[in-house]
Amino acid sequence: MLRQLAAIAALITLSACATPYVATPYERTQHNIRQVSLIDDSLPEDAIAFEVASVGSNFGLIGALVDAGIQASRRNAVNEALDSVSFDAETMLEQRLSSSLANLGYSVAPLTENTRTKYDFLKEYPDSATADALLDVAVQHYGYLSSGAGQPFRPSVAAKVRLVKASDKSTIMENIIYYNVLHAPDGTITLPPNPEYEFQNRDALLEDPQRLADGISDALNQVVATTVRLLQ
Amino acid sequence: MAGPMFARVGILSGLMAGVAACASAPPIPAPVLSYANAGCSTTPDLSAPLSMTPDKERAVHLVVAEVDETAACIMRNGAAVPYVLLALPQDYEDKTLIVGSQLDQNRIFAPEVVVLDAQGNQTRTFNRDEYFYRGSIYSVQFRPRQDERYVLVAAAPDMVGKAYDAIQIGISTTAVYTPYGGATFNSGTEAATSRTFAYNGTVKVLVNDADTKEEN
Repeated sequence: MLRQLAAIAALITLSACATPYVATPYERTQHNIRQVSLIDDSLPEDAIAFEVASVGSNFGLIGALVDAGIQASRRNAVNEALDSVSFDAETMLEQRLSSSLANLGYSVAPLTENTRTKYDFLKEYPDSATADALLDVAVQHYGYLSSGAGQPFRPSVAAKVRLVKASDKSTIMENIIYYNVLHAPDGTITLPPNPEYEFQNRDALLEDPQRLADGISDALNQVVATTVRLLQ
Repeated sequence: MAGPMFARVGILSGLMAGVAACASAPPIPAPVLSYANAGCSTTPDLSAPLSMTPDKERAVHLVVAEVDETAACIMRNGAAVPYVLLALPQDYEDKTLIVGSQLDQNRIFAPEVVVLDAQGNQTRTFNRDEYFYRGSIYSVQFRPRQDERYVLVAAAPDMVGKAYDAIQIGISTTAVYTPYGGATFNSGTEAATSRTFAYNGTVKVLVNDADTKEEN
């Protein structure tokens, strides 16, 4: 006798349960900042191309191992496509930041040769004879993100930004900017993705490398614009 | 139990919380795009502000106020607008505030945040560029100063009617029952949302306390 299996299903939407983040708001009138040194080496080496709730991730260890291979293959292919059009995210970000801050009246100079752990702020800020403040932008990831199997890939960036007073190394601005990221904690700045850059699957991602790069550029430009607004 | 059909896997069927409650769900308030009120004062009523001081020290204190047709009104820049007045925390030195409007389902109260002194005089305003979406709050963030006592959140007529369209990604987890035991299945989601800035909505404040060990 067939027994009708009763499947009890509850749809639970995961919500951001993390501790709220508390930023440090910037008060320009209270700090006489004119010259800013921009700390370089802001971005990870490679772009991501990650599918969060992939099919394989639901099927235990074997599924996870298969999934890891698929994810790595997609990521490598995306980065090769970006290389084919000579896309340089680091240079693009630094140039955009410098020019945007200059438009706000800041004098900006790069600060190179820093020892940085990727994805995080500098552990120790160097002395500067000329700058009033040091701007530290640490991009934790950039690239493309899909929420899960069957969902499109869209540009995604996660960045931490900090302005440090050169004289005493005190933090006078700090914030987190999330462009199309899952589960952003309360208190972080969230930016929605540009609907123009949507790629249905791996083949679509690789079909037009220039458009692939343009989507990342657009997202990074939004992050730069937000950083600059924080320093107004 | 399953009998000879133990090899079958229970079919996944999700129940949306909304589906379960749809028979009695209240209607979603529409965004109000015009506002007229005679007899609005030119100054806010300082007699009964909404307090931002929590009953005890905590890292995050949430204050929420609905703005609807019963909200107080004020004349600002020649226009009558609804507003909410909040009193800054008594112990302000270690506080960082996020003040603005909640992203309701189809609307966002169009906020203009103004900080006032004890006499109700304006001490600080914020340019539109200083407003950001911080998750579910369209807001400004600031630390109170010594001479400040109140925060006025009034409607901004120049924002009313503007749309905020966004794509929200997420993960849904569904519990599945199988003859082999319970399991969960994660899947990705996307939703296109559209909200309109309006004269009605929800004012929302997050009060972050950097030092919860001190006494109030």
